[in-house]
Amino acid sequence: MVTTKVFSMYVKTSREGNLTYGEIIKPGARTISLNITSETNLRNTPGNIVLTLLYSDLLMSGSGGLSRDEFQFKLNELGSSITVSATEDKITVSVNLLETKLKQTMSLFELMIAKPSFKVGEFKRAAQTLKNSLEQHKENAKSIALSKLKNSLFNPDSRNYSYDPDTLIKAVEEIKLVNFKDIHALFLASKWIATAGGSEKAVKSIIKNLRKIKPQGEELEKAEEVNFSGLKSKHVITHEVSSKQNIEVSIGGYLPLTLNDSELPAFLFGLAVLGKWGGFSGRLMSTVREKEGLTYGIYAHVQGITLDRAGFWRIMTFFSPKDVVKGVTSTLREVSLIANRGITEKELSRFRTILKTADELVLDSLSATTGLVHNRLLIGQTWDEYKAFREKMYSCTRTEINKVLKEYLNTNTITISTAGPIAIVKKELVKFAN
Amino acid sequence: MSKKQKKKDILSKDFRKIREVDGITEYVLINNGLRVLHKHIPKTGVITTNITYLVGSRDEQPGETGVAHMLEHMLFKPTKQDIAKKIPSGAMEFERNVGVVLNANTWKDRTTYYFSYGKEHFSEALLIEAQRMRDVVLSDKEFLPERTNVLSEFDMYNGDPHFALAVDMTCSAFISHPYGHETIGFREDIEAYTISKLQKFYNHFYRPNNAVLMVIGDVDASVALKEIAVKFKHLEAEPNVMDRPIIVEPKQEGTRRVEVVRPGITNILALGFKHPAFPEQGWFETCIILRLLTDGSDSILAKKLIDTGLASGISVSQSFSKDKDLATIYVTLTKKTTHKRAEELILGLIREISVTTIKKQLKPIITKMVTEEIFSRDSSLNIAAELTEYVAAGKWEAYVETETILKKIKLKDIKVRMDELFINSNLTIGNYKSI
Repeated sequence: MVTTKVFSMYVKTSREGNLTYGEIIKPGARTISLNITSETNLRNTPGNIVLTLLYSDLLMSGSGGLSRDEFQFKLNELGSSITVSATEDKITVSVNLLETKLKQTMSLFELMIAKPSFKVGEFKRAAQTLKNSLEQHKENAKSIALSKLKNSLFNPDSRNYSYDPDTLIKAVEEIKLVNFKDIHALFLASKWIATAGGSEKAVKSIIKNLRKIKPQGEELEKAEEVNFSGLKSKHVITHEVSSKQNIEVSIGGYLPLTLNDSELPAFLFGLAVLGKWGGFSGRLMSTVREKEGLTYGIYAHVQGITLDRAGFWRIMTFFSPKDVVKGVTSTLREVSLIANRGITEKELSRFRTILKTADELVLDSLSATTGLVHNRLLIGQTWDEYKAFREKMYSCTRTEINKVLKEYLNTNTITISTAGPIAIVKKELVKFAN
Repeated sequence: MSKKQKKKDILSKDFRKIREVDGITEYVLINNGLRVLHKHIPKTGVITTNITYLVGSRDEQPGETGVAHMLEHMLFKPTKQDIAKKIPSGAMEFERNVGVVLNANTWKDRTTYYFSYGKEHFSEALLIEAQRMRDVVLSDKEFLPERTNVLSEFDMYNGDPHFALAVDMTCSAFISHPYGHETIGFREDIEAYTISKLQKFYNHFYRPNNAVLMVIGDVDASVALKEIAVKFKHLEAEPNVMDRPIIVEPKQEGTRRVEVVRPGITNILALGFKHPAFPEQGWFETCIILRLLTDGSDSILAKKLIDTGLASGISVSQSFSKDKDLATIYVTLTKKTTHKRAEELILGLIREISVTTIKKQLKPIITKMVTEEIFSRDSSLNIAAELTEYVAAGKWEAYVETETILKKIKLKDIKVRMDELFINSNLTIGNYKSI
């Protein structure tokens, strides 16, 4: 595998058996960031989702002879942090530390994964905490708008489908202590994706250590998914969250492309012209925000795509109730405009520079680069493949971009999902449906 | 001519070196008072420039709250040079043509604008900052749609119960001091802004002698200073800009209380208390106390409230403010408790914290804070962002002293600080209730 120099850092990704890893070396770095993701690949059911969430809590709730507090105290003494998070079919352990604390921190990490306690008391606490947190989620209008958009596009067994808080709260009741031993065995045996950023000495030492502690196991079969729900018309969803001031809006559609599809780079380029995530350069920010003054922020991006899974595109924004109809109208106008007329030569040239610069600026930060490399490995791209993908994107022609925009930004088969103080505008909003 | 000689020439002609601390050097542009902080990070290919004006929401008058923030938005509108070139806005064009990272933010004591970009764009970045310091054309055509964007931003914050509570709590906590309103201002004031109000504010405060320009990244001092002199030298200083009243908040004589009631399901108890200014040692002591109480699953309040099912979440706010300010602990309650019972429980717990408990946790907390500081300085953008807070507080050199300040803090300092912070006459308590 080729080592690539990026500014003052070196990046390399490799695969050895069921350990795929990225090394980001910054000479002289004092800090180390390490991410380890296990592809547990469980089927997308409410039970598996809450099991994974509870497991991520319990993994940090006592190991070996140490209680939760004792374990945390030892970490704090070192100034290091370990966090465990659960997303879709993956569990990620993130470790941040100073190089001077490498040996002791890695010992704690090893203890955590070798001898988790899974005690009854901690399980009860974690279950209660999760239920309380899910209750609170019922007022998260932004997340509700997104979930309902995804659910209109995908079947329940798809990774892109989200279950509502009440379903998940009910599923918590079904989980038994013994389930955690099973999921932990799965965590250990599954394929690991690890990324370490730091000095050369530290990174090499971590990777060497991971090779030693990663138990062998067979690669899991992918859980079956029937992805697309088959939505064939324009769809409007409204959800009342009366405590909010703005109406959160997620507008999007199914995108039948995977990472290997040759059309994806062109689509991503075109979507960036429409609503590049962050900053002010996308068309939506120029028109809906700047010229028309209808929202503070409006962006577009693609989600849920991996090497073997299609995903969706979406626009994320919010409007005040009095502006929501005008705002959705303007947004749809911009989507239609770019789908029907495409991007201009000037936009092609400008966005080549914009996208290249954005890629380069990430590399000013060791932790941001480590995060970037890790996220690419998670969706199945090595660093070299990622760079080749981006080069392909920069070199897309206007014809290629406009062709895919026309094909996939179809405003007749989209979902407009809204959540917030909907009551007074609901009648107007539903008129957007076919 | 050697590099050293070149640098010396520029220094003697246009700049005076003020001091150098741990790789950061401070200069002043002699003819107009613009201060420059420079840190050279070679071989990265990236530069971040950040200009911080020493004006924020504290400088606003009643009826014009949020005007500093509104003006921040207007600095992304065309300057007279942009209008002559027929481009929408130099700053926006910079992003749209080059892809720089750009943004701005306003806080109580400052307003900050930054660009992060490939080093070949250094000159252009400086030119844009210099032009928009004095030459933005404030017109209704640009202002009116931007005001609705700010109202949209206000509504975005206001949809968050924590923000709604914070607005009322700061109003109650400060009777005289200008920290008594949130930076974005009141909705009613935003709706009433006029161009003349903005113009007056802009004319007075956006001056080189009220600004600090930070240049962090892959450019050496001689090149940086030369370019800065070319772009900023002609800008006029405002002699009276630093004449601002010193306002001391009157003594508080008992707990202050506010209540916000809205439809929904969220119930929050918020415990506000005034704490020392940043970057005094007392500010860091307060930070340690907040961590002891709320940071992580092993913190005192997490164990007593989250683990027992009485609360679903705990969060805190503590600002980098130049004067004494209000820090707040927010506890999202579950149906298992009430605001009253939770308040009694929390205050009881805090007041009973023993020296032994603090002693055990103090060193690990400090060690963790030092580690986090090192992590938070891993790019030119992050360094500039953090340095900004020290600049706004009027003591940038403390940026390199954080570790020393933290390591100096002793057990008795924390105990004394804790007793001071949580007495009734220092508290502002907020209840957010859903109906």
